[in-house]
Amino acid sequence: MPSSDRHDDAMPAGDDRPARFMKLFNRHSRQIYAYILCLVGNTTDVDDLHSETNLAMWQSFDQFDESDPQSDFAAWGRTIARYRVLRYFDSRKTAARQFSTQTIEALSQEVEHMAHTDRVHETLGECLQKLPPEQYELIRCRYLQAIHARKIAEQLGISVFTLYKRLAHIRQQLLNCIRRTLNLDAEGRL
Amino acid sequence: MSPDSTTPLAEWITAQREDALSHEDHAALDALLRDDAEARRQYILLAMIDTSCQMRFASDVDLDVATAHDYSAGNIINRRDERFWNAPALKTIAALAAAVLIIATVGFVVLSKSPPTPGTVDPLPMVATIVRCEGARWSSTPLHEGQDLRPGYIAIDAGEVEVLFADGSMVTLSGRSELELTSTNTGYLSLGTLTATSLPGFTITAPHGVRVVDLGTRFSVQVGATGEATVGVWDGSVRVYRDATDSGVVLTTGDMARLYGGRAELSRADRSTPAAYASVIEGFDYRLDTTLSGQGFLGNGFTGPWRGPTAFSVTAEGQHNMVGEVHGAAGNVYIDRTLVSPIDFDHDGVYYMSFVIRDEDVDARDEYFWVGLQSSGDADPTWGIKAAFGLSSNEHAMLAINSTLNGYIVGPAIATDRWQRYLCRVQTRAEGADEISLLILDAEETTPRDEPLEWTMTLSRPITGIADELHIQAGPKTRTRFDDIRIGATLDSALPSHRSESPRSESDNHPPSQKEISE
Repeated sequence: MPSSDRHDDAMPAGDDRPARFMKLFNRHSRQIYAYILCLVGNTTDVDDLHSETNLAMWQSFDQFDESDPQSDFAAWGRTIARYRVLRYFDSRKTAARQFSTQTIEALSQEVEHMAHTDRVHETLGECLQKLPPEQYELIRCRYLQAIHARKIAEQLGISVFTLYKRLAHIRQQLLNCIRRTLNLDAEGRL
Repeated sequence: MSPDSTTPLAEWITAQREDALSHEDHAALDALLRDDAEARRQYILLAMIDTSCQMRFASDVDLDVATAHDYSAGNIINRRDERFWNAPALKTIAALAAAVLIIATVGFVVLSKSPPTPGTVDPLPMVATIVRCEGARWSSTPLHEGQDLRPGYIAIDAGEVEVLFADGSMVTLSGRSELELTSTNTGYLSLGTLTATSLPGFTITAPHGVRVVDLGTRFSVQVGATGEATVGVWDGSVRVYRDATDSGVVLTTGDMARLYGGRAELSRADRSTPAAYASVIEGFDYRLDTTLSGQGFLGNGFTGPWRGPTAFSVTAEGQHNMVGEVHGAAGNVYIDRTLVSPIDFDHDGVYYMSFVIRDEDVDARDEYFWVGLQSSGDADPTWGIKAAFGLSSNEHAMLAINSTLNGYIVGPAIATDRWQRYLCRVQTRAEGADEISLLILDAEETTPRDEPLEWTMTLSRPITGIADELHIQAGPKTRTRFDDIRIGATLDSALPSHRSESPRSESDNHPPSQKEISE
């Protein structure tokens, strides 16, 4: 791993590590983000944990053996992310609303067997287009700038509970659409 | 239910994303995901969907501020500032991006979106200093003594490195180890062995949520490749948390805890009587296949890891979890360990030592074995000892004194292929000859607890100086297994508990329950 003074390192001329890192990073960042979201659950802290993970991956990039055909950048990133999530859990004063170690282990193992994440992303656009316009706008506004559900509910003149129901229904439709489109079997595999 | 009916899972996840999931529903979700593989797959797919939605719609932000404004009552820009510009982690990334301009140009912060502003971020503070590097083979960028460190990783493949944290805590990394310095009094040990002489509040975290908080002490943490952590306390006390949900348990001098996957096993030092607490206990109760070469630290009464040119692996046999068969392909194999309480041969005193061995006769020369007391200033090879107890190449008991080949005597033949306890006595004298004695007993035999004993053999000669190391040595052809080394100032303290003659403690034979760690 790089040393602790890595932050001060000047980038030598001709060093192509950033480009190589970025190529891998752009390809796999979504998977790592989704993994952190799986473990943390709420969207409040995912961005920071993902950023911390990105930074740690970059700092440790010397340790990632690109020449090894068995090496898996996303799996490596998930390992780093997992440690950060566990440490984040440690730092919280309460264990409320955080998964048990067994559940984290089970989710982590399951993720390793689900290799179709890129196709999920590709298929999502198609499934979003199949949503009724009002549902499309609703979910778009939920993600646009991460507007809090309470504010959306106020604007729509509905209760937060009703909004949650609608968002859950949209999520279910998107999930079913993606499974149908990708023809995922019960094992979640293509 | 129609195919698109909303499932409880989708509802739970929606509430979870909004941080609005009740405790009861969270517990139910946790149980469902733990027990139901199909639910896990759906949950993961939904996380992928959320991620993709986040990325897809977040990219619309610059075009859609006006639309979003309608929903957010004019709070968009503030939220954006809070979320994307002020996050501490992004400041760190900004520092990185300042050095790596390409990152800004190709969109490193894909999800956070905000391009970092080079030069606007304060440098991270120094948190520690390297004070000693001994034989360090760096797997991270090499560091040097006196070098100040900011938060980040240090990693070595071999050797020892001492790091002085800014709070005054001293940490020694030994052997292949990886430590992340996270603040002036915290670190994250992801692999290897760390010994800390630290101030209250100093905290080491480890995989699986393990946390060790110093209450004013000297302690060690060892993390294996699977993330299993072992904590040992040399002096004082620490509070150990097996995972993020744990309320913790206090370990004090001589205690040890193994923590893995949210479970814990405690091994408490025997404090039933003060005299029963030996100054040294090394039960070799390590995880199987541990290599004792700059890694092991778990014995009570030792200041640091095993060291020497030889790797000893830990294995198990019956009730024993001992150092496995030792045999050197060429030359002697040996390993040293520093004693917390040295033995001074220039003052009057009595010390006892015991250990168990099982020897196999391979009918060869150079199959000797001994456990000795030596000065750290003595030469290691072969005879660098003050006093030693063991067996000779022809399967006879042996005693040795001083650092000369002429200083040893052999006694009666020993039994082979069976476990035997070697009980040793060291009489130190300010004046005149010092004296060492050996009594060999069958390991299943009841060990006498009171002097006088009929010693198998005794050797008297003047010995000078201090023995501050335990030294274990075997010949090139030796096939001897050994376990459970104890040293104390009383006969009782150097022997296993009355309750069991097993070299392993009761807690090891009967791992504590979850209740025990939560006491």
